[in-house]
Amino acid sequence: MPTKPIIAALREVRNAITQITLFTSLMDTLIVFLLCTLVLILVSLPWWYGAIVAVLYGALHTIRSVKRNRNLAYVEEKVPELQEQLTTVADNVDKENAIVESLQQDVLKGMRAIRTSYFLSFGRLTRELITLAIVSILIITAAAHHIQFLDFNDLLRDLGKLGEPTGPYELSGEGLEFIENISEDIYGNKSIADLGNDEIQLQLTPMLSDIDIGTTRPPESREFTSSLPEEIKATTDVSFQESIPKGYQRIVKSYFREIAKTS
Amino acid sequence: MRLEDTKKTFDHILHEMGKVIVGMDEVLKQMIVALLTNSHAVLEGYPGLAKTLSIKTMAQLLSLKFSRIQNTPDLMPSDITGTYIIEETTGGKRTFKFQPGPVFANVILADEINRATPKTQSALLEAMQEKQVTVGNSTFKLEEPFFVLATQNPIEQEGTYPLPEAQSDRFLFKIRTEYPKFDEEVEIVNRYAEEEKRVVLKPALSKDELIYLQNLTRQVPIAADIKKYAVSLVTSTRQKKDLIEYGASPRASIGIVLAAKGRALLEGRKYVSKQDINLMAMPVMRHRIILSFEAERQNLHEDDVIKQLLK
Repeated sequence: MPTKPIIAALREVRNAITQITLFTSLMDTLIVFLLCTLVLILVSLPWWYGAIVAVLYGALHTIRSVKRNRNLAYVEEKVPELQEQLTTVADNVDKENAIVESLQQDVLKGMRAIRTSYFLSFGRLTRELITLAIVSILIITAAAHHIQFLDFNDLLRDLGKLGEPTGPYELSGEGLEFIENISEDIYGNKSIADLGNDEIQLQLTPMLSDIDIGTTRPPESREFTSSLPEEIKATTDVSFQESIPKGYQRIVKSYFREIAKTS
Repeated sequence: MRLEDTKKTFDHILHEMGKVIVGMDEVLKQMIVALLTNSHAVLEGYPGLAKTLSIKTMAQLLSLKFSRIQNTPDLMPSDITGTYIIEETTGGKRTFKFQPGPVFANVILADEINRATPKTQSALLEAMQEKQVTVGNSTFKLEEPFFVLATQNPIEQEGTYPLPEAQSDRFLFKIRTEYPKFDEEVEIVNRYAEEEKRVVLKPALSKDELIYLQNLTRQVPIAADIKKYAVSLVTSTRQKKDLIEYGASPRASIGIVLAAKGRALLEGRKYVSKQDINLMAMPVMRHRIILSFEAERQNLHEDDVIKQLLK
């Protein structure tokens, strides 16, 4: 049984609307991703956080838009000539009588007037493209010149320290523990000592590191010369007694003698 | 009649009625919608607002059998339905023969229906509902189309028997006739206070054509959303407890959708719009809701409450 022309036309309209909706959703998601990336670069956080946000936004935006736009009332809103007719025809597509068939013919005629431009705002599209270009340029500039408004990791670390006790008057258990920990730190980072002979995996990301690749040079070779003394001599040290004035030497001697007697 | 000609036919009916009736466009349209939906309507308004004249004019435009029942307190059910009479044959033999009453017609004008006793009202309302009349042991089917247009006066209380809600529910519409505007009243004076001109009305609709249009009305498609809107409107009368004591029944939902289809056809449209539902909500629901004491205390009428629901 051949498909009714109205059914095919309705399917075509729905598909076209879905494609346009997906395209606009993609554009919006791209803008969100780039904006997030820019912000993350400026606060020294990994760029892929932005990808997570963009994926979540894209999924929600697409589901909501497709759901809304697949409803033919959206088409009627954009094409006033088909107001209430398109939905009526779609809802009564299985009915066959003189009025329904006549209405289907009217709607098919009206549908020929539908243009993609009704659903795709070129003004909005242009604005989005300009936004994409501007944000992209900002990202490249920020990455190339290491522009950072703040280091989020440092900020978090500093914020964490805000609650910690710092005064010498804290004599509680926590305070004492803290002092002990501090004392351990003087031996260096334990994790480095534990590394032993393992190979260190380091990856320098130009975008997030302090190293300016443009100003680095190959390492310079340095020559080390020995500066050892030619002759080693042993000398007697100056006696402590000699540095005491003569008038006091006897008193000091007798003082230490008496101490020795009492101990 | 072709589908494309329906609008012309309705325009012709309205034009011909306009030769007699001044203004009252909405009332006339609602009467035609009642005709298209094969339903009955009651016109309510103060005396002298052309209720009876508009029904008589419409009857003239239809090539249908028309009868008028002038309701009075002493009117008996048999005066409406008909009765058995003794008939003498040529051989001198006497037999009972059924003499049909005025209800055996296509278009019936039941004038001042609230002046008939409840017993007589019941006889008429039974005929309206069942489209048949039982006299004695015999049941007589009424001819299609069967259409009752009743009138009643809202201010006359003495010697009247207001229709109970259950019986007024049988009327699809309660059409309210309002006072004419100033210019319309001047036109009425010009037409009827000066030299009388005989207006000749050309019948616009035959019986077959009317049945065709009634079938066509039921075929008018309606979108699911609009249908749900109509139903939600009716169900909201049952939820607005502060102003409505008793809401409209599902018969009101059927009535609104059907009336909206008729209205769409009358306007020459092949689909029902939300506007049709809004226009038909008032005449379909105003006699199907009972206001609460609070609404009466606020001096609100049925139409005021329905307007609130339409917002």
